[in-house]
Parts: sequence; C-alpha cells; structure tokens
Amino acid sequence: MNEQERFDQLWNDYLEGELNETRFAELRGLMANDDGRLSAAVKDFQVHRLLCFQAKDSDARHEAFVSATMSKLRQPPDEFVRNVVGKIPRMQRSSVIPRIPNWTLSAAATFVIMATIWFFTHQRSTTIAKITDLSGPALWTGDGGRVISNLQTGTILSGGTLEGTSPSSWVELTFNDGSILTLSGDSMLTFSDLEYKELYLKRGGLSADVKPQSKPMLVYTRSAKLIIRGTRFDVQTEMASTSLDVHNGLVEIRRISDGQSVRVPASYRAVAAADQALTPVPTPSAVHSWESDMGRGSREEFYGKWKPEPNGVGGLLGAIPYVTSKEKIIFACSMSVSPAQTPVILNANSQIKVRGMLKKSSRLWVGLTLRQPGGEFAGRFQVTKQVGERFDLTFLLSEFELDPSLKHAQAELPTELDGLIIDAIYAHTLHDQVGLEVSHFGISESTLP
Amino acid sequence: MLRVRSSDNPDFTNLIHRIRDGDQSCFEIIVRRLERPLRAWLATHASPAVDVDEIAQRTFVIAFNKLDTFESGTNFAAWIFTIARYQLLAELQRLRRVADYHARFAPELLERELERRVQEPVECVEERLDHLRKCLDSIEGNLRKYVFWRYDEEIPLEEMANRTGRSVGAIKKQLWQIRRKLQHCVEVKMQSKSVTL
Repeated sequence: MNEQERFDQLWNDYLEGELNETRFAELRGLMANDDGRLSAAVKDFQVHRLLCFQAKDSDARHEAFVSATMSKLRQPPDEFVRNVVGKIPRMQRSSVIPRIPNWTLSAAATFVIMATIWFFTHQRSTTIAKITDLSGPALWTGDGGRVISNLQTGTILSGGTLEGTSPSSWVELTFNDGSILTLSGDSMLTFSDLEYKELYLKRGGLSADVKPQSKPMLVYTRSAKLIIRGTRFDVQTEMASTSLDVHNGLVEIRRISDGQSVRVPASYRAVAAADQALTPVPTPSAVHSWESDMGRGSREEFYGKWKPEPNGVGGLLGAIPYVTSKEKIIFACSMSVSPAQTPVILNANSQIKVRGMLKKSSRLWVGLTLRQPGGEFAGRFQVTKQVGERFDLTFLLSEFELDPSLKHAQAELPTELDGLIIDAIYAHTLHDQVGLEVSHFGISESTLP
Repeated sequence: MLRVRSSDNPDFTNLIHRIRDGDQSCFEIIVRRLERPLRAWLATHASPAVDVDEIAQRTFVIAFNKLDTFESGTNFAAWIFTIARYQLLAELQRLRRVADYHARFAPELLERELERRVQEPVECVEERLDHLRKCLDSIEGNLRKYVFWRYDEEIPLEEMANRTGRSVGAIKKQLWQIRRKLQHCVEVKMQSKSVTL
C-alpha cells in the first residue's frame, strides 16, 4: 500500500470514527506532508457533512429548531444572561506588560505554580462520578451552567443535574466510592457529593445500589426525604407521592408534609403521600397483566400530550416530538407501567396490546423498556408494523427484538424477556408527524397454548 | 459579500421595523427563512466537536438582542452570517483550549483549513445543498443505496458489508468514491450557475 492509499484508508476511518490514537497521529503526519491531501480531505469532509445534514433535515426538525430558538428569546433577561451570554467565551483583554523587577517575577511564578497545583488538586476533588453506561438521549447541566448533551460512557462529572429527556432514556452513574445510580425514563436528578451524597429527584425514577456511607446519603423528592447508609432500592416520584421499594438493607423515609418517618426493610415498600398511611408493606407480588387508564387526565406517568376522547369516556395520549441521541426526530408517547405500582412481569405467554389512531397510514413502532428484578436496566425491545388510520394491535412477546440503538450493549442484555419487569411501554412513528394518538396500552397473558 | 440565490434574500426591512416596534413574532419568520442555510453553512465549516445547532441558535438570539445595531438598508442575511462566523470562531477558540481536543476530534490541519474557510465570503450553501440533492438523484440506484444506508439509516458499516457480501474496507472505499463523485458533480453545477447579490 503506498502513502496515498494509506492516507485514503486512514481518512475514511477518521470519518467513520474508527481511528485510535496511533493511527490518528499517522493521519496527521500524512496530512502535513502534502497540501493536496489536506485540500481533498476538507472537500470530502464538507460533502460528508452536507450528506449528514440533508439526511437529518426534515420539516419536524425545522419546526423544533424554530420553536426552541423562539422560546429562548422569551426568557427573562436574567435567565438569558445565564443561559446564553454565559456560554459565549469572553474577549481576551489586550495587555501591555510593564517592566517588573526580577524578584517580583520569581514570586509571581511561585504563586502561579502553587495556584496551579491547588487548582488541579481542587479540580480532581470536584469530579465525583462518571457515566458507566447509558442509552437514549440525556443531558447534564453543571460546572457553572455548562450543558452537555453528548454524554458518553466514561464521561466524568462534577455535581450537577442529570436529565433523561425521553421515555427511552437510561443512564447509569457510578460515584467515586462505587455506589451506582440508575436514572430511567423521562427523569431529572440533581446530585452532589461534598461531605455526603445529596440527591434531588425532581422527576421520574431512580434505582440505587449504595455502598456503605460514613455519613448518610440523602435523597429528596417533592414529597419525601430518604436517608440511606448502604442499600439497594428503587424510588419513583410523582407530583404528590413518592414510592420506595427496598431490595436490600434499610432505608428511612420521611414524609415532607408532616415530618412522620418510618424505616423500610428489604422486600418492603412504603409510599409517602399526604392521603395515605406511611406504613411499610411487603412488596406486592408480581402480576402478569396490566391495562392503561387513559381516562383520568394528564398524569406524570404519561409521556405525551393527553386529551379526552371525543366521546368523553377515556383519553388519548398524543405523540410528541423528541430528538434521539442520533439527532433524529421521532414522535413518541409512553406510559410508565411498574415503577409506582405492583411490578408487571413478562412471561412466555405475554401479549402486548396497543390501540389508537393516525392521521394517515404509517409504520408504527411499539416497544417495552425493561428492567431486571434487581432493578438493573434490561434493554428496550420493540416491534414495528405498517398500520392504517385506526389500529388495534396485539403482539406476542416472541415478536419483540432489541432496539437497534442498543446493539453495542447486546452482550450485556438478556435475550430472554420472560421474567423481566416492564418499566414502560411506548409507541412512536419516525420523522414525519402523522398524528399518532394511543387510546389503550395493555399487557395480558395469552390463553392459547 | 454573501452570495445567495435571490429567493434566499427577501427584503427583511418591514419585518425588522415590526420587531423593533415590539412584534417579536416577526422574528420567527426570519428564523424560519434563514435557519436552514445557516445550519448548513455551519455544518460544512465547523469541526466535528462543534454543536452546530447551538451556534445557530446562539446566533439568532444575539441577532435578536442586537437588532438595534443592524444598519437598515444593508444585507440582513449577511449580517446574520457575520454573527454566526464570529460565534463559530469563538467556539473554535474555546475548543482549542481543551487540552485533548485535537487528539479526540479533528486533525489540527483540517481544523485550521476549516477556520480559514470560515473567514472567506459566505457562499450560497442552500444552492449547494440543492445541487447535492440533484446529484444524488443522478447517481445510479445501486450506489445510492450506500448513501441512504450510511447517512439516512445510519446502518453500521459491518451491517452494510453483510448485506452486500463485501468487506468493510470495500464499503468505506465505495462511500469515499461516491462522495468524490458528488463533490465533482456539485462543483460543476455551482460553477455553471451562481448569482451574486
């Protein structure tokens, strides 16, 4: 292989994101040796980027961009300054260096070195956790308002707010001491670890496997405070209630409204809500069937736009757009199934039902977000079908396949769905808004052999 | 000077007057008209680490807040692109301060060349995009499927290799040859027809 062929090969690998550090250095060297290669590479890069741009371009994306931009204009001035101007790098001030005695320079240099050592020491202490696995779109806001949307496995984080921005989002965060938090679905968690771990679960669900703590870890929701020393548990928060399931150890839960608290042992559940007794009860046995209740208006377990059905009997959950981790826009709606209720477990005879309508015939995806009985993420599995304007579909469990976006984690995910807990059920269409509205989701057991 | 096709550069004067009088909704018309060419231009001039949408959004927000400084009678689209250019350069400067940036995202020479091109007159990117679509339509279906798989469906190269019975290396080379064909086709079309306003 001659030098040009080698360059072409490395360049293509670069565009495909397949270069390691050594080959990257080789590419840089080959590029530096020949101006013609650089020029050709830039032209190829620009065509590549335009192809990416036009592939992702759609009316839905256009609308989403316009809408997001206009919403930023409407922010009050203070918020604008924080969110926008704060991100703009400040201009470097021009400076004139005056004549300074040598001893002053030496002292200044010593100070700079000490300050640098302190800065880096301090910096290390502020990185408290890292992303150890993730799937679906997620955002992190921290470090003085910096927002990172392209989170990846291995991303190191200081304290801040982690947000799962879709029903399919799932992020595993490992603290420096080995404690693991798993945030799933449409959720928001603010976390810090200064003298002790302090978490604010503002939305959604969290599974935790906490190493023994010298000072208790605290988890706050709108309705409860949890005090943890080392245990495994799941917590799910809604507007007026917090549900806690303890798998291992002991967790103290305190109801915010009246300060009452109880200790919840392993295999017990407690719900902190103003309208029910705060008493641990054995974790309910699993069930194998479940029906959505769309008739009670918009609720936190919904992801989508709810409206009453025209006949006034039930409700319709309309798909709303969101941008996937691959920057594609899909239109999705979803419902939590198990977190705050009795676990719904799949078995070999499970059937998944979905009923609803579209404005025009389209391909529809129906999927399940699953977790292991111990709380670990077990993947998203889905099925797709071309459907008409009204659909009433029943799928067998055997028809479901792993979401292709999780292919990288296939080896770590179960292949048998039998025995897994359903976290959420979702439906979506791709790219074009075709007015997906779901009136019913259901899980049942087939009576057929 | 901003080279755009005439339909890309409507008279924004009336809209700007109305925005200055407090009708914020008129700015939406401007965003709708200019966001695609702006994002396309940014996509072809930004290194891979830059969040193009964020720069485009920041550009519009700054333009809105600095609208009083826009000189009536001058080219509004060019003014927007100038703001975008400075925002992009500022972002590139910021990224250069990230220690391992070059090791992770782009060969330094590539980035320098892109930065040099940022400072060149802004060409009509939307026209280039139109030509690209036409050029794509003109390539034979057997080759077009590779582009569709790679860019629209984002199918991994291994999967493309399985589907076609070819090696991953051959797929990469095929994609590269298609891009070269497209690049040549677009250049020919751009040279044969351009309008300067």
